[in-house]
Amino acid sequence: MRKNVVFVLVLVLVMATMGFAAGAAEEEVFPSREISLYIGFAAGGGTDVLGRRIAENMEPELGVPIVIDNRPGAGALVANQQVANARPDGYTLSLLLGNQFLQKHYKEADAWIDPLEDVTLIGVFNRDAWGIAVPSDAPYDTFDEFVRYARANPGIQVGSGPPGTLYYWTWQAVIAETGIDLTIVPYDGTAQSLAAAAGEEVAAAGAGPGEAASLMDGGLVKMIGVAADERIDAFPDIPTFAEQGFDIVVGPWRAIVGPPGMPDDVVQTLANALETAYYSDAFQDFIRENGHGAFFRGPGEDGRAFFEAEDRFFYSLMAAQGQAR
Amino acid sequence: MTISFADILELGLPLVLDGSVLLLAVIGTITGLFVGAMPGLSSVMAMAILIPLTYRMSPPQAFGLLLPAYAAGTFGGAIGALLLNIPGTGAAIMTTYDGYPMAQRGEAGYALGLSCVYSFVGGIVSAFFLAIFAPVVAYWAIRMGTREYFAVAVFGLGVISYLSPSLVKGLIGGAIGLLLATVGMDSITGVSRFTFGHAELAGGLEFVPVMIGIFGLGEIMYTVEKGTREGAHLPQKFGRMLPRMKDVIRCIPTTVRSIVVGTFIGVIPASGPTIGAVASYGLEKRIGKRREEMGTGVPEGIIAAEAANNAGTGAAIVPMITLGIPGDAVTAVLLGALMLHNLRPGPTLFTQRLDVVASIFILFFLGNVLFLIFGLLGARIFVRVLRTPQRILLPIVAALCFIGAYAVRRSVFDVHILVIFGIVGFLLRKIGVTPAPLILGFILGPIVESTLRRGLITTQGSFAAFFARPISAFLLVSTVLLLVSPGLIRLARFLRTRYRAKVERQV
Repeated sequence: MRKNVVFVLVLVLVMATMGFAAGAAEEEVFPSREISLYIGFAAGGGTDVLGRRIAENMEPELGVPIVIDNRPGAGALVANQQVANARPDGYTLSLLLGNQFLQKHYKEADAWIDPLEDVTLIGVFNRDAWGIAVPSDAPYDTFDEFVRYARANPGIQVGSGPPGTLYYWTWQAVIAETGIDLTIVPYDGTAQSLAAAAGEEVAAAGAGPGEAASLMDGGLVKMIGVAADERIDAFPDIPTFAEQGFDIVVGPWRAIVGPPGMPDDVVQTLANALETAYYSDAFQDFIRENGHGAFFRGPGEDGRAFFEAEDRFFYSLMAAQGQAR
Repeated sequence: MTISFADILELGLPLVLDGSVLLLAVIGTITGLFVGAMPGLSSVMAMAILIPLTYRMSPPQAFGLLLPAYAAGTFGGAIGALLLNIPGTGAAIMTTYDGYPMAQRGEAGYALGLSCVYSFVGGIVSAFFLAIFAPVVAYWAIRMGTREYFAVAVFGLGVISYLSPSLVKGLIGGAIGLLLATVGMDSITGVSRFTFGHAELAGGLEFVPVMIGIFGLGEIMYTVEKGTREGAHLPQKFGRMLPRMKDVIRCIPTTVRSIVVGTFIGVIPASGPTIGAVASYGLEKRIGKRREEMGTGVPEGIIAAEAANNAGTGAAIVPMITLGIPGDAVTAVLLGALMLHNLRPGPTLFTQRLDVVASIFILFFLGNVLFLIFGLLGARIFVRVLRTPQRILLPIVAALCFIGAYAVRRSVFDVHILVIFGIVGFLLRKIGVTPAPLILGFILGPIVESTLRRGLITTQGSFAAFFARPISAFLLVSTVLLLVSPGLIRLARFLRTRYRAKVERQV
C-alpha cells in the first residue's frame, strides 16, 4: 500500500514538472518545438502523400520539424475532432477535407464538426477535380452525349462511393444540374466503382482522372469530363463539364486547420509558411506530375469565402434531396 | 504487355543487385517476420511503420523494403497462431486449427517448418504466376463483378458453419461476428448503425483491436483462469523441421488445391489472402483425404491455410500492378508507393518502366526466399517462446496486445474496444465458442451484406441473376454442395445399406 502512495506521488511530481516545462516553452517565439500534423487517413493514400509533401516544404520556413501523425477514422472526422479540442497553440494541426462540410449537413451522419466554427483555417492548398469514367466502348464519348443517352434510358446505373462520402454527392450534383434520372450504385470505394465501370457492370463511375489513369491506359475506361474550372495539365484531352455547357465544379480539396481560438500571429506564421511551401517548385512539380489540382486560399477573407461557399453548396445539395440535417 | 523471364532478369536484376536494396530486403523480411509473429502486432501496423520510411527512397529501395515485409508478414502470422493460438495476422486465423494442436503435441518445430516451407511454395508459385500471367489475368479479373464477389464471400460464410466441432456453437460465433459487422455507417443507405454518436465507430469496429481482443486478450484470460502451468513445459521435439517426404507426397493434392484456390481468390480485385485461406481450408475439410482429422493437428490443415494465404499475396499484386486496383490493405499501400514515385500502374508501366515491373517481380521472389531462410533459422528461437514461463510470457503478450490495438489508429478508443472484446472472447471460450468463426463472420459480414444489396440494385432486385453468371453460379452451387455433402453421403450410405439388406433378404 505504501509503495502505491509513493508511486502516485512520484507520478504527480513528474507530471507537474512536465507541465512547468510546457508552460515555460509557451513564452518563447512560435514555433519553438516540433508541430504535429494529424492526417485522418492511413499512411500511403493520396491524401497522406499530399499532406506529407506540403509539410516537408513547410519545415524549412518554420525551422522546426512537422511530425505526421496518421489517425484514420470516419473520413478524417476523428483526427479533426481531436484537433478541434486541442490546445490552440499552433503545435497541433490537422488536414481537413471538403467531406467535413458534407458530414455537417448530412442528416444520417450522427457525428460531425462545423469547419466554420470548430477549427481555425490556416489555408487550402489543393483542389482535385472529380470526373466521370465510362466503359471504353460505351455509346457516348462526351458528357453531352451521356446526358442525352441518360434521358433516352432513364434509370441507368452509375457507380459511386458510399452515401456518406463526397463521390456519392457528386452524382447528386450531376442530377441537380442536368435533371437526368440515374440509379446510383454505391461501392465501397473509388477503385471498386471504377473496376465496375471497366467490367461494364455500371454505365459510368465517378472518379478523378488521376484515379482512373491506369484503367484509361489499359483501354478499359474513357473519361467524358472533369468537374474543374479549366482542363487539367496532366490530362489535356479530357474536357471540363463547363466547356460542354454544364455548371458542375466539384472535387476533394485539402486544407490545414488548427484548433479554434488560435492567436492571430501564430495563424499568420503558419499561413505564410504554407503559402511559401505551396508555391515552392518542389510542391508545384509534385501536384502537376501526379495530376492533382492547383488551388490556394489563405486564412483571410478569401479562405473564409471559400469555406462559406462550400458550406452552402453541400447544404443545398442535401436539402434538394431532403437529406439535410 | 507480355514479359519474358529473360526480360525480367535483364532489366530487373541491375536494379535489385544493389547493396542498399538487398539490405532493405533483409530488414523488411525481419520486420515482417517479427511483427507478423508477435501476437497483437499486425501486418497493417508493420506497413504503417514502414511506409513513411519509403517516402524518400527510390522505387527499387521502397519495394525492396515493402514486398519482403508483405511476404514475410503473411507467413509470420502463422508463428503466433501455432505457438500461442493467437494469429499474428487475419490471414493466419485458419492456421490455428491444425498448427496449435500440432505444437501442443510437442511438434511445434515441425509445425513451424511446414508453415514456412509451404508458405514459401505458395508464394513462389504465385510469384511465377504473377510474372507470366499478370496482364492476361488482370483483364479476366476485371470482369469479376459484385455477384462473383458475393459468391466468394458466401462460400467463406459456408465454411464457418462446419469449422467448429460443435455446429451450434460455430454458428453462434459466426452470428455474433455478423452482428458486430453491422456497426458503422450502412454502405448502401448511409444510415448510422449502433454508433451512438462516436465518430470512431462511423467506419465500423476497427478490425485489429477486435481480432487481438478476441484471440489475444481472450486467450490470455482463459489460460490464466485455467491456472498457468508453471514450469511444466511441453516437451518439444526439435529433431525434424523440414517436411517429411511421406507428408510431402501425401499432401500433393492438398498443396495444388490450396495454391489454386488461394491464387484464384487473391486475384479477384478487393479480395485478398485471408478469404483465400478460409476457402482453401474449408474445401480441404470437405473434400480432402484426411478431412475427418482436420483440426487435430494434421499437416494437411497447415498446408491448406499457409500455402493458400501466401499464394494470395502474389495474386493480389496482379490487379494492383496491371490495373491500379488493390487487392487488400497492404497492396493498397504498395499502390501508394508506386504513385508516390510518379509511377502509374497499368500498361504504361509495362511499356515504359518494364525495369520497375521486373524489379517488383524479382523482389517479391526474393522476399519469399528470404523468409524461408530466416524462418527456418529462427524456428528454434521462436519455439523457445513455449519454454518461457507463462507468468513472464503472458504479461508480455498482453502488453503487445495493448500496443498493437493503440498503434493502428493511435486511438485510445481502440484500446477500450480491445478490452471489451478481450472479455467477450474470454466469456465465449468459457461456453465453448471458439474465436475463429466469430472473426470470420466479422470479416465476411460487411462483404456479404454490401455485395448482396449492391448486386440486387444492379440486377433490379433479381436473385436469379446471381446464378446467371458462370463463376458466381459455380461458387454458389459449390457452397450448397459443400454444406449438404455430409448429409448426402450419409443418405447414400443409408440407402445403400438398406438396399443391400433388401437384396440379402431376397436371397
